[in-house]
Amino acid sequence: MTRILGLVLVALAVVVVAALPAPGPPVPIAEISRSEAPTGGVSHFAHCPWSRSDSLRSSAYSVLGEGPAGFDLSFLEGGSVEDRISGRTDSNTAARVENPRQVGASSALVEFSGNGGAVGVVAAGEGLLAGDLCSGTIPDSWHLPGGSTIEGESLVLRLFNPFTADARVDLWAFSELGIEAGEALEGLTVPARRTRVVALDELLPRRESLSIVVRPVMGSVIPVMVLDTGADSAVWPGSGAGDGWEFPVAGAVGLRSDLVLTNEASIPVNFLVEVFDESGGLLPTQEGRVEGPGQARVSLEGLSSSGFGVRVTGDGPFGAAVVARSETGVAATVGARTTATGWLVPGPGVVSSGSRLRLLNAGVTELTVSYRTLTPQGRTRTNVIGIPANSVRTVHIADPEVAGVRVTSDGPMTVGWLAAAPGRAMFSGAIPIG
Amino acid sequence: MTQPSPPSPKPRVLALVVARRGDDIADVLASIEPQVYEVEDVVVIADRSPDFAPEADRPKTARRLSEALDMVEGPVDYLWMLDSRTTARPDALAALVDAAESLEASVVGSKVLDTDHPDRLLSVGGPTDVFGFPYTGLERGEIDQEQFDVIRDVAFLEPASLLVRRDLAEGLGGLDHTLPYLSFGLDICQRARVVGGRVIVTPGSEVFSRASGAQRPTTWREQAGRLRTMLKTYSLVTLLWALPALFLVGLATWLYRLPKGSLTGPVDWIRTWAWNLLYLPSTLQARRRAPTTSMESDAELFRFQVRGSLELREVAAELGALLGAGAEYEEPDDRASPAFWQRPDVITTVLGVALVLVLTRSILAEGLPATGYVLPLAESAWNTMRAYAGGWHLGGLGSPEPMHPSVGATAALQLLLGNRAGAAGILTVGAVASGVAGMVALVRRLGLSRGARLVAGAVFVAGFPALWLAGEGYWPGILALSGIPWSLAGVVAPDPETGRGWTGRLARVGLATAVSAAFVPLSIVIPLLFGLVWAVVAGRSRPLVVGAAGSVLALPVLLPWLSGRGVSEVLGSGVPFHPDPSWWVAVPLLVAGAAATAVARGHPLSVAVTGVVIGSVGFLVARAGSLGAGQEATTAGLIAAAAGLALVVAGALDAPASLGVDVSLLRSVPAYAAMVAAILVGLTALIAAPAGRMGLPDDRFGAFAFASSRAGSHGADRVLLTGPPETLPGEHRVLPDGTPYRLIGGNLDYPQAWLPEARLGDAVLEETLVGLIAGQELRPGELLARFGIRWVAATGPSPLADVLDAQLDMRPLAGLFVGESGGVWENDVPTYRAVTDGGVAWSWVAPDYAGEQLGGSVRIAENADHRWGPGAWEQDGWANRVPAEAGVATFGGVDSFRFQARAAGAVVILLAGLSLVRARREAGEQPV
Repeated sequence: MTRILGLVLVALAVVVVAALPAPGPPVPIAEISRSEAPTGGVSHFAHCPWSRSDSLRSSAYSVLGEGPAGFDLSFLEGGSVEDRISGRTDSNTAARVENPRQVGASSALVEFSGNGGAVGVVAAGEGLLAGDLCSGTIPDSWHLPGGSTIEGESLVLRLFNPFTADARVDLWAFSELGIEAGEALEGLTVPARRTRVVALDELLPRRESLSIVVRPVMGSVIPVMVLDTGADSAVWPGSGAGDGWEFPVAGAVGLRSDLVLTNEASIPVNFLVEVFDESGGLLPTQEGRVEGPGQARVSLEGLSSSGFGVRVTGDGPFGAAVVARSETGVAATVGARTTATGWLVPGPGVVSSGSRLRLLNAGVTELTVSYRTLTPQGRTRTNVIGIPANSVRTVHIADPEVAGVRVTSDGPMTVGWLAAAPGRAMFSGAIPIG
Repeated sequence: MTQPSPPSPKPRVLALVVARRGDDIADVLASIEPQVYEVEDVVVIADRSPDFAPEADRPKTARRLSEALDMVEGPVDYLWMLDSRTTARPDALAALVDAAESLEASVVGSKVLDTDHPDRLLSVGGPTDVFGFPYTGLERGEIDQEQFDVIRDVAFLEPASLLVRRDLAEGLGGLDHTLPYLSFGLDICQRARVVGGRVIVTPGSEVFSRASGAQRPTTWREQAGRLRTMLKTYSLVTLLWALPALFLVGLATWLYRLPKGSLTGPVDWIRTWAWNLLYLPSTLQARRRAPTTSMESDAELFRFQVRGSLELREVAAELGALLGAGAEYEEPDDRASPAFWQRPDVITTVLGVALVLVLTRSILAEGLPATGYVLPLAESAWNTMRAYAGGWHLGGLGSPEPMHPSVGATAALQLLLGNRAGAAGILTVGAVASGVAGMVALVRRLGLSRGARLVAGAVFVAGFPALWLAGEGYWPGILALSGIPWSLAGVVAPDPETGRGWTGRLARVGLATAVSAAFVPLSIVIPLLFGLVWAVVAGRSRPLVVGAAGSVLALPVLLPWLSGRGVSEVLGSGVPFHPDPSWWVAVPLLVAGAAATAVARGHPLSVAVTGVVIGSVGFLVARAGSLGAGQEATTAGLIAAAAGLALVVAGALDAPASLGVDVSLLRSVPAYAAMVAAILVGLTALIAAPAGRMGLPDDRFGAFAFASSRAGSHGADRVLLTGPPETLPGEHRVLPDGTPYRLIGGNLDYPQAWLPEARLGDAVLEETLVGLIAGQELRPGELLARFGIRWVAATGPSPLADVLDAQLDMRPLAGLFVGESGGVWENDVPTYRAVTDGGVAWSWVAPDYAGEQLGGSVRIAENADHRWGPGAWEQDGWANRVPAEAGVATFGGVDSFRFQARAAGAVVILLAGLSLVRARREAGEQPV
């Protein structure tokens, strides 16, 4: 009996014990999603890797809050915070900080308390009208399409590391020659709380089209591309990759625009470019393919006789930027990765010659849009306009005191703005809310 | 023709009766009377005249030898010294005189037989060790079969009957009446030998005396007497090394006997030396009277001495008996055997000790690694016990919840052992040794061979269940191995005959169960389970009763931890283990268990079946994580599996021997297969041998010492740890996305291994960390400072570590890594666990806070609880705020938990006391 009992137990033990599965790892209750740049919405901080102030040029930081918010603008240089400027905004005001440091190019960090907000930088002066949004969040890799290093032009990549840890990044460069290789592009260290300037025109000279993908190996950086033609400069921030982009500001009268796409994946991305102008009519579309990895440049010249916007969609993630040139001027911007019913637009009004707000309705229904200009003093002015389906509208902002615009609509749309001065031009984006 | 020479005159002998206080000397006097060799006279050496007879019939009485000699008319040649308890055969003196004359001996002793059992030997003289400890060479109660009937030179004679040359006795300065019985004889022999006299024993002379018991040589008076003799007879050079050695031997001996219940050991040891200090002047006087004490005379003494210490040999023999033969069935001999090192018990002991040393040598040499739950003990054992007894839980952000019983147990043992660093190592090595010894004792009681016992002991502490626990760094699991086998051995012990015996047995089973349950609480059911199985297998109900009693008696040790948690929580909480043995372990184990169960007979069959059942149930529970079993349950399952595995191996090893000689191949082949498989399983126990730290992983948390070195003047603040679960110390919490994390107080120690249930502060911390991962914050340092977190340490890849690559107020400490792909960040924002309104930091003196006496209040970054004080308590968000006037902030405590903890301690002390009382009574029952 004892023997049988024992043998039965041995058999049972083998069967049961072998059948018991291992307990699985704890099941995540919820994913914690990280905010994405560049169009992921307002953030509690903004990184501004570039501004330029000296005796001939001035810069202005325009700050808008989603609601009542305090902000601290810190300039980091040499591993420490050199200056700190604090202020507040509310729903009816936009702050402007002009010429905070006349030391040439500098990098800054804006931290919001209370509500999140948006920050834009505009620099103007001799041979310069440039600016764009400050980055609110940090993607895994940064796309900076649209550069060139042809003779007489300078292209620099500013890598801003406002954080406490040193960062190390690899640069993937794509040009008309294909993928550019070189030890100088690998393992670039960006010390904590410093900005590293990479002179692409020296590393990769005489490239007609040069796009960069910044891939952090350790730590994080916020990059910005600065293209200087001698008579004008264009500045555009890095962005993450997206399956679709809208550019409310893709072209303007007198400018030849190119849409440049980058693909860091190993498989190609097929894309479709749709163009929208104020007529609302059907304009020819373009299809193409971005090799993986690689870049593609699409000329937008001659698509419309007026200002226009574009929408580009692909079958995979890619980065995109529009670069526009005139005889002397150059402007560039990244697009909006998402549509929204509300937008914060920092910056228009800063340019003394006036700015144009560009609203793109790529949908099939007409939208009613309300825009309210904001000044540091709290003077506001609200207008309501309608935007037909598949069209853009341009609104002139002439008041030089306007530091920002708050836009709301009854349907999804995208917003950008542009400015021009004799021989110079600039494009800029906006931050979605709601 | 020559005239024949006249016959030499017959030696004249004076009989001296050495009277001892209270002894009746009538018998010894009566035995002198009929001696065939007539004595000249009889003198009693005593302080006063014995009053057993009328005045006229009383013998002559003298206080000293010189007085006695003065009482005799004419010279005498020999003194026949008889102890007052001695009676002599009529020819005893004649044999003594004959031997003395023929062999020219100075001191001749008689063979001493037991008065009550005349066929039993008490003494035939013998050698001593260098400390004078006598070595009779006799087994207890050894029958006189004339096996020692040869005249021999000896170093020591019992003074029951000694014939001493009169001139020698006078030359030595007389007798030393300060000495007790055995030392009295030793003194005469040693002093005679020193002056070149021959000391022999003649078995032809037989006397009778009463047995004095095995403990007599170890009484403090005898120890003191031997020391006095050494001082009188050894040269200074010999004393220079012999006295320190004697000091250490005495110390080691009473340390050994202390746990056995001999509580007077230290006192006796002190009395021995104090007595000699008191009598030092007379000792020195006697030494000056001695004719010679030189290196040559020492060499003469050494000729008849054994090497080493006989007391230490007896200790070794007892240990051997404990491991190899058990303490209850085979009483250790009261005297060491001549070839003790050849005894199987001693060999088993040596192998067992060697096994333990091999398995734990790195722990002994370098201390424990810090990994998993293997954490340094707290700086203050007393404060930990305060926290344990209804105080503040030291893990995470704290809680009034009771701590794990192992925290209280380790703190109590640390308090006893004293040394913080060494205590953990001693505990571990002691647990392993106790586990081996306990399993050996269990298997012995189950009637199996010595080989099976030792292999079972090795498999129990180093088989795959134990190694699995060790590999996971689950230190309490290793410590729990110490008690369970003793508890099971108590379950299968034969039933005592008396109530006192039952009390002691149940106390020991309860105590052993409590020892294991304190470390692995659910192991408390193992004796019950074992009792049930053994009751079925053996067909007796008593084991079940004893097992159940052991489990019930140990239950209080789980208080207050158990009352602070529900049973379901105990069963299901914690991350479960899931042991997954390799095929090369599982297959031999299955073969051993199945084959032994199928073909073995007798004891091996019973043991194998019991092992199969216990092991199967244990292994099933150990792998029941997917069924809801938690860490405590699966650990207890592994302990049961370890015990079952050891029993299976023991049964399988003895399977062939159980079959007898006339057995078919069909039966013998599986039996030998079982044995071979068991040997293979036994060999797997050597896997842990190369590293020598019981299978514990490498040190992982040593790098956390940075917290101490970088601490501010107020002490180390908190560290937020994040990384893969296996890289974190003790328990951890998990964020909603599955990211593991935990807090530690700057100096990582064992009381922090366990985390209490999450409270308000923990919820806020979790919310903060989720916000950080979401990338919503650039200044994590500012947020974490509220929790007193000065450092974030990533022990491996973690989303929390990723976000720290992009933030503004936590500085990476370059070059400091606490794990692969990890890093450490230091908060730039001032962080304090406790800070006053004015920003003055207080120190954490676990479990309290202390600092400068100031006005206003102090914020205590522990989970809010109204019992913090002293003074008016306020809730500050999730934390506490109390007045800073007292300069100290303490947790008032939970009265019910405090009472329960004290009750648990009292029960353990009671159980220990009952076991000790029983042991002492047993010792006391031996003849004295």
